[in-house]
Amino acid sequence: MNNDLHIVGFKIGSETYGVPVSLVHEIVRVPDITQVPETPEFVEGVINLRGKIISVVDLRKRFGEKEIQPHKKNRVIVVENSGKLVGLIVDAASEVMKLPVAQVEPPPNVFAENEITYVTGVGKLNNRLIILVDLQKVLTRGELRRIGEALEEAAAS
Amino acid sequence: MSFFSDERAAELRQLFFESAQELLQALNDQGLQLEQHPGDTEIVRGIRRTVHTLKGDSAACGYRELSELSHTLEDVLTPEMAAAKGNALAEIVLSAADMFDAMLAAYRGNLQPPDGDPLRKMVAELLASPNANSSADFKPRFEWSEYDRARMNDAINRGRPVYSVAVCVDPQCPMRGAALQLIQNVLQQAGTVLAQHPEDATPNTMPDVMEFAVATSLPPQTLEQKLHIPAVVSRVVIALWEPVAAILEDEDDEDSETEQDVLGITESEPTPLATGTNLEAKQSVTKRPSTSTNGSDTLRVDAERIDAVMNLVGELIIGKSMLYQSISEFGRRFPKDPLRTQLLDTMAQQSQVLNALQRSVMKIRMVPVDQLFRRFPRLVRDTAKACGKDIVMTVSGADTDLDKGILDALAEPLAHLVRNAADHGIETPQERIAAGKQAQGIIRLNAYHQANHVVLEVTDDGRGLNIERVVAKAIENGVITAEQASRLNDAEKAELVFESGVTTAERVTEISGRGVGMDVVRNTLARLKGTITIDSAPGVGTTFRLTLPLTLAIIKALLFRVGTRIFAVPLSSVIEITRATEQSVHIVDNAEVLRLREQLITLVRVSELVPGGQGTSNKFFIVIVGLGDRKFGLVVNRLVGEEELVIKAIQDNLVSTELVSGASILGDGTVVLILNLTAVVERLGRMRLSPAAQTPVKAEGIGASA
Repeated sequence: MNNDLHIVGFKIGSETYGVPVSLVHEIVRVPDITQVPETPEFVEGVINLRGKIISVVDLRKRFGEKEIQPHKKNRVIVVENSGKLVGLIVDAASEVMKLPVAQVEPPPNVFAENEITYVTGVGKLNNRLIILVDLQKVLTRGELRRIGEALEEAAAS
Repeated sequence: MSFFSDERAAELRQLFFESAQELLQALNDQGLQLEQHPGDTEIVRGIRRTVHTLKGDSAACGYRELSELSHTLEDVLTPEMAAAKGNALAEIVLSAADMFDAMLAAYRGNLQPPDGDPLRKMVAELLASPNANSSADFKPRFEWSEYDRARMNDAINRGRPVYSVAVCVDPQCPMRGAALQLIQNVLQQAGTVLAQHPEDATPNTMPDVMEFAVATSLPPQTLEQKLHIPAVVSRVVIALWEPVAAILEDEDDEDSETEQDVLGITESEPTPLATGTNLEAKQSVTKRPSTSTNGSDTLRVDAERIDAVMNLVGELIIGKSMLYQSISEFGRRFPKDPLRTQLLDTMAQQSQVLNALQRSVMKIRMVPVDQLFRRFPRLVRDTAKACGKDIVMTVSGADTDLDKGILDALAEPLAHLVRNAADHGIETPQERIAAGKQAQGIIRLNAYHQANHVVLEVTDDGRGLNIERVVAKAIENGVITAEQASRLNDAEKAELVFESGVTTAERVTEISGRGVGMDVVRNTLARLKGTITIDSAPGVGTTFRLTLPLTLAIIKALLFRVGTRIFAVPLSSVIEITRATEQSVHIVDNAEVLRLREQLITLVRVSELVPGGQGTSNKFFIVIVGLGDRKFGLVVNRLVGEEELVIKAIQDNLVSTELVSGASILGDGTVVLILNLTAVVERLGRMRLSPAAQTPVKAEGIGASA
């Protein structure tokens, strides 16, 4: 019986996130990005992925990271979202991880209270916390709240 | 149905919908023909074949309502009925086409088909109408008195042909007095009425058949056409009057007699309808190879499959320019290497083949504009009827090819223009005669190739655009201010009809005049990278000219650099390029303009689309682009060149903006955005500075963490 979730992990700020490996098309270095006018701020533009033009979202901006420094470890994770390919810029991407289902817990209440609905669960692996996210919700236009912020608020109250 | 698997049934239905669409078009065409030539039994046979095929096909697919209604319709599709009630029959056929269309749409969406009762009622009324058969064998007597004959001889001696005219008044016509008046008017306009029988016809005593002797120089066909007043006159017989002959047999009449004989034979068989229709069904299979694409040398292919090939060709073209760049680079590094020439030769051959491949694939997507034009006679007829006008539509260049995708997208805008021409452009017959024109208005559709473009024209010979009205409306609706309007030239004023909310109609009708539509027409054209212009002269008519690219897949584009970004615009809209410096830019009416050969050109700063904006340089290029009749100057830093671009749509709604119509990939892998000039100019060209029109350029910032 195989009850492991195969996920691709990536880092944004100090948190580690994960998306199912089945949704990930490939991971590439950050190429030249062509900006498109009149797009939401978190949309970086479009890139040429071997002849295909796909849009790229800066997940760091999307998750409300304040300081974004370009780094050679930055990657674009190309994922499939409702039939289309979208690139996600992340601070760094990791190898494929096996996460036993038993290690995944539903999102803590503090997320729901702070309207962070894109978190589907939190997994524990080697003493690291991995936040599993719902890409579809992440990529819908609209404002997202930063997880760190929510935690700070929760801690303060 | 039960012995087919679901998949097979779905396939069968798909086939049915495709062929049904063709049958409906045929039905529309035939209905219009019948209206032109009521009583033509050959047309009625054709209609019957069409309806019969539809009946059989729909029954096979289990569409019971459609098949039953077709069956009902077949009842009236007889040569006798055509001879007696050609016009009413044509009306039924056209209504039936509409009804069938609605039913098919319902079937396609798995909905309950609409009720066919209105049509059934029309059929029943036609069958029940008392005159149905009595007027079929109506024979004009043409018994003229001696006095009449003397007058007629007199006219002939003066060199004018004299015709005996018999007019059968539709028994359903509610206002007989008006009918008599109408008929007399037509005849008096056509020539001199020498005699009338019965002489003392008054609205109350008016018989069903009126006879006239008319001296006219009009050809009998024209006279007959004019006399066919819909809903008033059901039948017209015209015979040349010759002094010797007492009674003249009309040619038309003989025709219908022979038809009746033919039919008599069929009727003598035990089951006339069944055998007749079976025969016809077989005929229809063999007789219609041109319209049905089941023929051996024609394939019906899913447009998607062609698109897939087209995409691959696009990739090849991108690959070609990448390869070319590598070879150039190789040539620079090893100019003496013999491999270089070898590579260049191979490259040249490759690109030839590639070009041929591209052309062939594009050709597959090309269809004659006739596919679009043939929908309009019906539209013109209906519109003309609804507003009581007499309009004929002529078509030329129907075999001009155009990309299927463009053609489909044009259906709506073109229909709008044609409807407008019929509703507003063409005057009523009275107005036309008063203006010294033919009572019958003409709407002309024309298509032709012009360089890499296809031009479609919708021309009417009506009253022309009322420019003052357009301007007044535009000011009233706040599109421009009176002060701005005073500075526009006539062409620019005419362009105002494309602004939303501007209408020239004096009244809002069912058909048009709400002022929505023209802006939609222009937007569609912009999306297709085409343009639309108006030519209008008061009292002479209006021409709308639509210029479209041959294909949407590949365009020749001008590439330029603004700041750090490369953008492209369709080369077809570029008029000229000039250099300029900041000093030569003037501000007029709050807009930046450039004086170019005594013309002021509104400038558009493309740099506003680029974060970081304009470079520091004081010198720049101005790319002058034409949008319809207006010119704008795009301010750009550097020109990159001209290139054939394979357009890739940006469909992702994350990056959707109307400012960009597509993107493409250059030989070095860079992505360029192709600007949608109409939107860019509207947004950035400060031509109209009413506060409302001044929308900020910055993104509305969804998701921007404030």
